[in-house]
Amino acid sequence: MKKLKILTNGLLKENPVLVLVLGTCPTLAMSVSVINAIAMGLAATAVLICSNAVISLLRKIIPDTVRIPCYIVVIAGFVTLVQMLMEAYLPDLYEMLGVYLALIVVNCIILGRAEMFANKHNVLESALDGLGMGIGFTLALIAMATVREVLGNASFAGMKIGFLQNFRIPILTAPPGGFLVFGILIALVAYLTRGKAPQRKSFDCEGCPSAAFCRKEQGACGIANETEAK
Amino acid sequence: MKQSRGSIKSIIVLTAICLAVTALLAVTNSFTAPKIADARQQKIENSLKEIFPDVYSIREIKPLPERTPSTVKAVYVINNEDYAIVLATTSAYSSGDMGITVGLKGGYGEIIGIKLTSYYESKDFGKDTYPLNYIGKDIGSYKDVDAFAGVTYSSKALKNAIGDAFECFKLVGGGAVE
Repeated sequence: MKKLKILTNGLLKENPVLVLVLGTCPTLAMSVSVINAIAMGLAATAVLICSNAVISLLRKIIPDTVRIPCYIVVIAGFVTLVQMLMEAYLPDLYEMLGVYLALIVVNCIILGRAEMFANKHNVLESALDGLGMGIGFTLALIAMATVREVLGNASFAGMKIGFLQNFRIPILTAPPGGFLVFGILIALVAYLTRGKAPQRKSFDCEGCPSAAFCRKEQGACGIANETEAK
Repeated sequence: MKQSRGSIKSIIVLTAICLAVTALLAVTNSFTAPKIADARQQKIENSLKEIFPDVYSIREIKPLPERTPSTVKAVYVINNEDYAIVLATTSAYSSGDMGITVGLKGGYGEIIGIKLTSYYESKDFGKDTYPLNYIGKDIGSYKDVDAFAGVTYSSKALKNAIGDAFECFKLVGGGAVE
């Protein structure tokens, strides 16, 4: 039951894009077409599952002081691996994703889940969290891409929708349209998850995912020091 | 003492992780690299067929003359009279090479066709009508084509690559480009 909850957490309640508001850059860039959205979602999901599992496996070995460089090396390794495999076996998709595929390395969702989840849970739970978050990310991208492509380009996954050709809203395929649809979907998910989504308690040190580590280091966090000085 | 032991452990762990990741990538590269090279070569061959639809003979010039610009990767003589110059350049912040095939007519070296075989940034740049602006231009007029708004780095890189193609055309004795 606990494992099912971990898997389903990322779908709506803790959706990485629409609730945690992570990975905004690839979301806005790759949600112009449904095919791009699916490709980006699957690539990010593969990296999320693998990096979460490996980081969880190594969590007792990696010293706290070098954990971020270690996570980045692991994540960058898997992203490069996915890049190589995609260029070799799915060249069209690789070209479609362009520079955004390499940018998965700095996707906040992946580093965020490594820091918030994988380094505190076992391998299976971490892999399930990666899978759940990846599916949540993919679904959010597909939802956004569907609205933008259908209404903005009168097509779905590249297939033209005849009766919408004269009613296109071209701004939806441009960056301002992306922000507009993103905002509307966030509002919709906030409405659907009233009271269930995790609430940010504060915007100071306590609200930071690294708060526990900073406290342990006694003064590693600049804001804490300033507060204490006052 | 305890602190230095901690530092040593950090260095060892980070180094071990880097080595493991490198090994994993090396293994992956060993079986993906040939496929990637084949796919790139196939794209270049397709671009030659698109630029020269009535091609009946292709001869590669090997070795390339000295002082050939480093962006030029291969030069082909098409139908014993025209030239196709394959270039790979980069547009400053690019994640990968921009692959370009430029078709030049023998004689004064007017541009017959231009194809982008690989491009990893603003993806519509190579597919839209912009590269067509260079068709019919020669060494004296190619610089008149303006940069493309929003893709300034890439369009400048494309223009520089075309300049290199003309430079190479002169070196291989393609025609009276002067």
